[in-house]
Amino acid sequence: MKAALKEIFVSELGVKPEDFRDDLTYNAIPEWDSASHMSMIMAVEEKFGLTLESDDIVNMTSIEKIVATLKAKGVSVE
Amino acid sequence: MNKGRNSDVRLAVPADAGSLTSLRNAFWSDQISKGSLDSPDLDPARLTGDTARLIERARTILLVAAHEGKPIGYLYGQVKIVPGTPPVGSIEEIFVVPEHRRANMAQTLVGEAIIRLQELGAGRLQLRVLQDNAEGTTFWQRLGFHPSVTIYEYSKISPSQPAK
Repeated sequence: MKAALKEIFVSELGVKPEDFRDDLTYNAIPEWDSASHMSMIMAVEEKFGLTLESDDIVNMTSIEKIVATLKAKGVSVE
Repeated sequence: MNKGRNSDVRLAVPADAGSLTSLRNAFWSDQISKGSLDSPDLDPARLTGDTARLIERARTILLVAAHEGKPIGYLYGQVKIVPGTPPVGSIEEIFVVPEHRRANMAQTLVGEAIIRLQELGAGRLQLRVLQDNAEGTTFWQRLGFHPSVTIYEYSKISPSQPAK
């Protein structure tokens, strides 16, 4: 799943592949800001075939939290 | 559904994808002619796919304005949720074919969008208008919207492509 997340961050947010790390957090890099957050969310929904709740979207502020949210929704990890 | 004389505004259904794609193409062609640098992929197959996805997408409204059953306009809006701020409704695209612009169809679309975006949790609505678009500026201000932020889009000619 992290590979899929990395693909989203690279293709949707324009993050350089070498800059994608497991400890990445919202607003820690210029590419992941308020303007791009929803693009990332929509790409995640499309990629994993689910609809996220508002609370999930607000809380998905790190790779760790994104992974945890997706796991909680039954998305298989690794 | 918001009904007028021979006209109505309703949520798009999958069967609308084809006609909405044509209207979206007209919208973006118009925007590009006015100087917008920002557009989706206008390849017909890709735009059709993108439109079909918008119809199904969560937190998104795609409204169709129809006259005597024929789509003559649309509005695409979405609710943006960002950590640390209340949800915002964003009107991304609105278009009515020129021959129907005097029938207040655009106002009807916006009125319906406001209701539906608020139902989806948006407390504030936003949209972008090109600075030189006097018609657009007048339209939105007449509906009670007011300018909040001015955004400058910077561009630079690549050194490998000499300026004409």
